[in-house]
Amino acid sequence: MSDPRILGADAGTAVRDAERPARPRGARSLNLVVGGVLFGVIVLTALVSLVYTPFDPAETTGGRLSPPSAEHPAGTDVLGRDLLTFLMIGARLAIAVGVGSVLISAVLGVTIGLIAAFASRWVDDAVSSLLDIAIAFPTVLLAMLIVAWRGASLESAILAIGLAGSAVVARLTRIVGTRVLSEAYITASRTAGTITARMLVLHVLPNVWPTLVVPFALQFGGAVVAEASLSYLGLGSPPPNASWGRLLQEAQSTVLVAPLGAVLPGVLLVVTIVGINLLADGLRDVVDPSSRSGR
Amino acid sequence: MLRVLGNPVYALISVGATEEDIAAAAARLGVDRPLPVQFLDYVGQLLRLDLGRSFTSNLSVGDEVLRRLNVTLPLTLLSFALSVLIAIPAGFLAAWKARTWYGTAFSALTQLAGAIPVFWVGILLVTVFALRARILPAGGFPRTDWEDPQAALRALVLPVLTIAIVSGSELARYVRSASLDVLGQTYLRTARATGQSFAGALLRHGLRNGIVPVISVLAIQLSTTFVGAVIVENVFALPGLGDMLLVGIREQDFPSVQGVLLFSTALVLLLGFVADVLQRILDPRIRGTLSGNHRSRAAA
Repeated sequence: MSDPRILGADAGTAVRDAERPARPRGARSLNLVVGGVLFGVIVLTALVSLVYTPFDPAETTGGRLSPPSAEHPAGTDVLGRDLLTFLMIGARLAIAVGVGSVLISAVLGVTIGLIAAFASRWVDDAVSSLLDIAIAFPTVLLAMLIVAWRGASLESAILAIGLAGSAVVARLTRIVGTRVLSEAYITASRTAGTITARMLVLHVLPNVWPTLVVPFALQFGGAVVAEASLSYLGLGSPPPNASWGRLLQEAQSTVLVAPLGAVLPGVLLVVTIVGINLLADGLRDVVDPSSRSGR
Repeated sequence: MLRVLGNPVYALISVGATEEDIAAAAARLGVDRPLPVQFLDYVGQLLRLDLGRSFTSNLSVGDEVLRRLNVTLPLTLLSFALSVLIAIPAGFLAAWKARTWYGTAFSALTQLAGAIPVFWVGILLVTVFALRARILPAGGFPRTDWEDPQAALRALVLPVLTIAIVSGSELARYVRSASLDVLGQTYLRTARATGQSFAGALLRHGLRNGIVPVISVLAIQLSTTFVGAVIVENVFALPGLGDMLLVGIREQDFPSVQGVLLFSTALVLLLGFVADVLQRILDPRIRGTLSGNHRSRAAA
């Protein structure tokens, strides 16, 4: 059906698609469970941090760079602030970045993609070429451009990452949308006199979105990494609302005295991303039953 | 482009500057002129391949970009070479031995390596090899640049390793899937039936087919490596393009920021173009289409 080269240009999905046949079915539902647990822990931490953190993140509550103790299970940072509190807030920020940027990509990308799929060939070609260029442009560079313009903040990071992702979503939506539009039920609906807007909502969107769920999940992970990189470079949200990337940057200079500070945020980042990637792998089965048996 | 944003004058003047000082600084930078004039001026400069002068140091941005490439280019190319050297055998082996422990371990490892942020790998490597074992420098680049090649190379060992681990594992997954594809093809069996050895058939028929999708990934990978270099330079305090970009953003030195971003974008697009052309040369089937990427209306 779909030319692998078309989808192949979308980096992350291609690898996983190709990996599909090698993996037995049992491994896939295992993916869903393990991914769900890992990611669930992070989401839970983020939710808890909304109502409870061990300490006020801005307050000095212990000695500088003190090792783990009963009071500070993860130790303290350079200024004597509780690290566990920061790690919990970091989870909240990571989830916010993922959800926010995926939402932006979804709204913008699906809209552009559907326009391209619906529009005349000429518009479609123009949009597609623009998307090719936009996709070639690295996310982190685009993010830096937006940060240079808006200043370093969580919102800038989310906006930048969301914008960068929307091009990929748009291309995918366009491909799937075009395929859906050529289906018989669309012709039938047209014949019945359904107006375009109604057809979009009733027939096109419900058939497009299952294909997008997995890319969205993967994009979530990518967004968390991108924000961590920005924060690490000092272009993310400033403390005390520090993300994991920022914590790593601050801990880098004191890694010999307090190694936990340079390890834990990284571990949490990896847990989040591995979790969501496994979840995406497993989700593919749920939304796309045809992938179950392999090729 | 970027001139619309923020006021770069504030980065130049000292505390207690008078209105006249501010106006004088603005006039020196040329930011007191109307925006369309500034923009047209900049485009005119670009056509002459002139990226302008830095607001803060007043050095030519073009020269600075070239000077910084002394660090970024070797870093990118060495990392890329190393990751290809690791990825191709590792990925091929993983496809060949897909059903053994190696295949499983490979999948788990690359999955993990793909999830690790590149800068964290850098921090961990610095901690282990520079701070604890003290066998390699933790960061910085010799002031003498490449006059002392050994010292310069030593400074690049850890950064190169950092990027190669991350981008190599990603690349290895592509190589694996491309190899899996080739190994399952009937033309390989046919070639074996004509009496060719397995290695011969693979080299003659498998390589040529398997390499096509890998080429386009290589180009994407080279640009990712380049962007990775921008971040990793920061971990190791290397005075490359990434450092220039960050300092530029912090000091609102827009000509420098623009210069680096334009250069990087041009490079990334150029790499994509080269990959497209290469694919077309290697695979005659794509030649007829306008672009390997879109035009799926016919295919769908």
